[in-house]
Amino acid sequence: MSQTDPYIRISTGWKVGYKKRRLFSEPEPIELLTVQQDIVLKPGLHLLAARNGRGKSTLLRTLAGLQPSLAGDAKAGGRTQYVGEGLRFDAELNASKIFSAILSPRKRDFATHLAGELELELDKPYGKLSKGNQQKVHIVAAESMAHQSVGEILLLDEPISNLDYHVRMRLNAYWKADSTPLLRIVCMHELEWAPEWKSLLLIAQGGLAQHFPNQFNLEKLYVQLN
Amino acid sequence: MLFRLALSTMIERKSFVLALFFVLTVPFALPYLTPWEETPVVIEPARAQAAWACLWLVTLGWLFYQGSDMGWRYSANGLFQYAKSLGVSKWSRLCQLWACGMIFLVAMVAIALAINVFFCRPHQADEARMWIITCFQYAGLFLLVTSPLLFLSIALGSRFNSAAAYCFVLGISVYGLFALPYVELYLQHATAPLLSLFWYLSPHYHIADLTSRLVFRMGPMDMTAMGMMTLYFLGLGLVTWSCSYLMFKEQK
Repeated sequence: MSQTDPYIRISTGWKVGYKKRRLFSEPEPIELLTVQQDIVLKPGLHLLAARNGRGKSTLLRTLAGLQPSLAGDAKAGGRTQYVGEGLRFDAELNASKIFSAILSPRKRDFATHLAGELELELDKPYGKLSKGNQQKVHIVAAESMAHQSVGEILLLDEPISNLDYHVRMRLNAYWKADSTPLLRIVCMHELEWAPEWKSLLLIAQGGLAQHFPNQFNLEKLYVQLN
Repeated sequence: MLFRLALSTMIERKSFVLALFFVLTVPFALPYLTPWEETPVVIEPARAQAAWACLWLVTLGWLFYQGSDMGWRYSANGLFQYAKSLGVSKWSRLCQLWACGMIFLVAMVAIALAINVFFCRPHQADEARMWIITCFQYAGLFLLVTSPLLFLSIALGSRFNSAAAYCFVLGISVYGLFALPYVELYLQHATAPLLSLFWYLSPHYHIADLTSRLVFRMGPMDMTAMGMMTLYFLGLGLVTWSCSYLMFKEQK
């Protein structure tokens, strides 16, 4: 790993959650998960999985610096880019105009290429795109912004939930083939891709643990998720 | 990034065309709806009056709503958060949207100024010179009043919703521009210490309205008065900007 490569270091005891506000007393911390072992993430694909409401999005948001952790230390070495589930662009703009607004000319060419790969209509207004196609806009924007840049960390919150099977396969193929030293944490419910990826981060029983492809059995992990 | 996104949306929506068209054409059309034939010399001052009135109207009625709506949309749609995760600071996020609104504000002020300077200017050289100075003073004060309010509309939109934020900014603008002179009038005939204090603390936007000074050709303000007013509005702007910064919320 070179000095400019992005990384994430999470120390044992790092607690993720949020503080519930109360009118006349101190905010009450609601803890979602605690890290039970030191975790170091290097460039590559990392799958984050958990059942609904167990803290996947909160974990990504905390890593992105959008909210504080409840205790402990975690450090993201690089520029984070959090693409949340709730992200929406203005309905009137088409994908082409969105890319023109947020990307440099060099990266726009790459965005056009990736949009073609993912069968995204560039001329259709964002508001008229299906949810799947809107997700493609988010993915293409984020990937293009990070493309050929140094020290980029992509935190993608359920980016493929509305994509069809074929586009998912193409995206996975692109991710695996991409030579940019990017650190991607992709939050999703399907674990089938995990054996091909760098690691699997599993949130279960209030803890976060890292598993490596040669060390786990998918069936057991699905059981563990319950 | 946010600036270009917001600007692209504003251009795509095209409502600015209507606003600019209004500021550009109404000052020429409106005076002819009056019985101007009786005293044709008033047509030029009437045009100047209409130009500034249109500018106030469009700024209060259209631009401040655009600001509130931008603030609300970018907060509700997660774009402020997306920018934050990329390392864009709170000030920068707010300022980028504000800069987008300022493009249209400055364009509208430039149109009103051009109408005043080129189509309403008195014919005598001395009067014309004083007229132009007054126009520039008015434009400067107008920007000093409206630009912090645009900033406030964006910040409030990010915390509440576009309608509530707009109503608040519209309310404070109307109060400062039109209601305060009536409060002053009341205070001249009554003793009300609390109301007096309230009057002192209120934003006196009405003093930036130099329309009557133009229409009645009273000449420009002297440098001391102009300097004092500039300082007052800079201070008021600083308070407004600080409040806006505190009110800004990146996520609904």
